[in-house]
Amino acid sequence: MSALRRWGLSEQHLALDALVAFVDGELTPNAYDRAAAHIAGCATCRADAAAQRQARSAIRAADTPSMSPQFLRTLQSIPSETELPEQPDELALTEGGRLVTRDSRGAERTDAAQNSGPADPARGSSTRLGSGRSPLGGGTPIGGDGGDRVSEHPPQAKGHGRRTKQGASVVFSGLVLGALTFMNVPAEDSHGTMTTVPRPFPRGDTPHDDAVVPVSTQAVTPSGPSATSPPPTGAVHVSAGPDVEPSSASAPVPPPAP
Amino acid sequence: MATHTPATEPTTSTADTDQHTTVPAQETAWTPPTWEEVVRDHADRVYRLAYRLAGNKHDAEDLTQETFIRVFRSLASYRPGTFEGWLHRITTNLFLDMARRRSRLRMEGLPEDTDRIPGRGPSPEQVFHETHLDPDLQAALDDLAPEFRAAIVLCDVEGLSYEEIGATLGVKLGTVRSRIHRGRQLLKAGLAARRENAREEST
Repeated sequence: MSALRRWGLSEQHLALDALVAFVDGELTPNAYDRAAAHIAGCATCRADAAAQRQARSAIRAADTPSMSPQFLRTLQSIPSETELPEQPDELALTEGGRLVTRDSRGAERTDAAQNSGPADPARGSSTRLGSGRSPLGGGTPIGGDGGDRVSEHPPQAKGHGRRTKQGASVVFSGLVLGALTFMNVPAEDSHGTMTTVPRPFPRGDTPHDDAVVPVSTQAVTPSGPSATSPPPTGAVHVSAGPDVEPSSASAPVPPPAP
Repeated sequence: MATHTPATEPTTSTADTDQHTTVPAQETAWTPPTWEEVVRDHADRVYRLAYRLAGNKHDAEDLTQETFIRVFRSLASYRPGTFEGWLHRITTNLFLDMARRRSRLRMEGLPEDTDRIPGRGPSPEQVFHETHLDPDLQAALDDLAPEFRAAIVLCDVEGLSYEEIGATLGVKLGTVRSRIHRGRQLLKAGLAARRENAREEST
């Protein structure tokens, strides 16, 4: 109880998490009612909520900038300026610029047939996928990480060379992995436990569209913030009570004492 | 938006299974949009998001273009679903990458890259001319840490739910909440400070 009193200040007010969720209408009806009752009698929380609303409406009220027509044309011409990393199996662009999906045999599913000449010449670009020439048009590439490497090569001519290179790098990384495994075996014997358990990704999708989640990480994922404890031995560890994310929807109002 | 929402079916069937199943009268297969339609339906939205995140026209155009290039490259693996969510994710993560890279450059102080970092962005007049947006607001937004900015832009400009924001940023709901709360507090304080300064200067 003394601990509760020591934290009295935070106990008397809404948790900030709950307050912001209250302002944005993200509380369950039950929690919303309790928060509203508290706010009605608490000037501090009322002021905080008002500040949240002011900041929100300042952003909402702002006009949004619009693109220049010239930039819109740049976006429209991406298919003719961008090289695809590899020949897509399931997608093709018809003469008319319509994206079509293909099944495994190469037959197109959409009605826009490719065989009989230009289907719709009025449509935008007539470039087939994979036959674009110049890499990325203008503008500095932003991501700068992954895909841009590919576009440094002219598309068709070097296809073979690139594949060879990829093969070589696969072999190389295989060697490296092998070496690492080999080196790790005695280390594991002597040290017993490995201290580096891969941290699980936060839930939801991978944060980057090109992020790679190691398989081992996925396997460990279910544990929450307390990911340091479980040994990778696969011992089933059912008492997952505290690991569960604390009540995503209904924030406690007022919060329980820590 | 939502023009390309699929007709409730996964449509993973191949051509030969289609022949054996009864084909409903209405067209249930998802028709892939033309590139022109993709750009027409989504470019404004992506650009607006990119602008609010990046804070200036140049970076917003770069972010938007890179987003659409990624979309174009990955269309083959795209499955009918929330196109908007996909776009939000790509744009936001490209922005966060950009912000991280720049803060790294700033720390290391590489001399040959200094011209890539604009001193303090465009002038207030430029901002207003480009956006008709209160320059104080954009400046206060720009002062926020990228993670805070992303959270409140997704919430207050894009109108995403906390859950959608969490999925976009790859963080938990609790993190979404605290980032929005803190971000708005900082934004409001920054706005107040700027207006106070302006008032003092004008008197």
